[in-house]
Amino acid sequence: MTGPERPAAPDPSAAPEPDRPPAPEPRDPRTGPTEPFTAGGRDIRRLTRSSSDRLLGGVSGGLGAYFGIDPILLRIAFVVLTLVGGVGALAYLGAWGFIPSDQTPAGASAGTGRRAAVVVGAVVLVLAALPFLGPVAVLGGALLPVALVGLLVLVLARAAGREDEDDPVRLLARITLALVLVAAAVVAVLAVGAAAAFGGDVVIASLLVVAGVTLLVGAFVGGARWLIVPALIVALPLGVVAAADLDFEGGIGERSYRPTAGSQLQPAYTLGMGELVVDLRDLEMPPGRTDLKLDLGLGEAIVFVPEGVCVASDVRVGAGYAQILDRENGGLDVDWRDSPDSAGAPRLVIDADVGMGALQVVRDERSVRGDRRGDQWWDEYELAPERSAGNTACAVA
Amino acid sequence: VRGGLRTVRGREVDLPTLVAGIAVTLLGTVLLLDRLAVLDLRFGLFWPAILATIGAVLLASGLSGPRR
Repeated sequence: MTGPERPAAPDPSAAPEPDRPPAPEPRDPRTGPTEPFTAGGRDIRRLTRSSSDRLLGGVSGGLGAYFGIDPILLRIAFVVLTLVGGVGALAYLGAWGFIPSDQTPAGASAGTGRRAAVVVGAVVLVLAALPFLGPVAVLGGALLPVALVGLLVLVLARAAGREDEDDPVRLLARITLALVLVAAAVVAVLAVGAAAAFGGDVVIASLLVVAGVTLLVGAFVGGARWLIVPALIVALPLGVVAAADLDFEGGIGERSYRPTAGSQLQPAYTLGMGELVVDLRDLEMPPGRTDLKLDLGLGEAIVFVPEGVCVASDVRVGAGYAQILDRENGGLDVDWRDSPDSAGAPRLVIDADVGMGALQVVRDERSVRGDRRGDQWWDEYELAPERSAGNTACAVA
Repeated sequence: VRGGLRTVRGREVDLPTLVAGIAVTLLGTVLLLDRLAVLDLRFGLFWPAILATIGAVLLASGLSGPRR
């Protein structure tokens, strides 16, 4: 006895019937809401916030549906993580901000962000080209702040310019998270810079090259775009360390030296970061030439020179300024060489390398900028003749 | 630009990643050579270089399609 006749399974290799209606086109995930769609032969689900299973923003409901987990467990996890350091609240806000609702088409989001990227990218490229276009040196010091402000505006525009602009909570969550990420990036920049200045520069530069090659390969095989921002976060501080020749291996803190005889002069006075003071006012300067070498990574170096000494200098400052008695020079890449004729007077030749910061060569405390005489670094300060004697021991040219 | 670059296998090349890869590789090489004392990088070259890198990546990102 045979069972009821069952319809034969369709043969997948059979040719399509001519009168069969064509199969529906795979739905673009950017044009519809939440159901799975097909792309490249695979079912792809969108991660969305649930509008039907929600207590606050529908994050747990959406995550639960996406991963097949009971949303109650996720809610408990968020609460526990919030009580333990507040990470849960931050994660929830982030998810609220960046996971789209199942009621909004996904493609509505990217337009504003892309337009902002094009505009800011073009502006930053123009800023990068300005130094090579001629009389724009006045903008030199302003290039970086302008670019950084532009990038911050872009981050906020991308955070705010997505769908659901009418949801103030989501908007606030996105902006808050964007600012948190910016702060984290700043911390990362400082950490990488410190690691490079403490001697890890070659390793970090090698890793940067590896990251670049990985990005090149990833451009063809996919999945590497996430590496762009970390690579730039590494490149920025490493570049500053390289351009300023920062080296913190000389130590951190305050160093003060007051030699009284030529034999007490050190071959070089080195400090990684901090304040380096070399007071030569009690030094019996021998006739002829005396060399003084200073190497400061980040901070301030102050040299007190005695009266009646002709000062010659060979100074390099990556970013900052140098004041040699009554003359000063500042900005980026300061290379300053001054070799006056000493006309028989004792000659002090200062060879100084300052990565970022200041070098001050003065006769007394009254001529030192900053806290020593009560003003602040932002105060406009002009060297008055009575406060900073010039290089009077040298022969007048 | 969108969808314009493809590999020999027909897969679309991710333009922002490609631009960033070229820029980061060049920048990393220059920084490595500086740290090895082969050349002397100064701020006058570094700031334009890092700004050009960021600007090019942003421009490529804005002109290309959504993240893959």
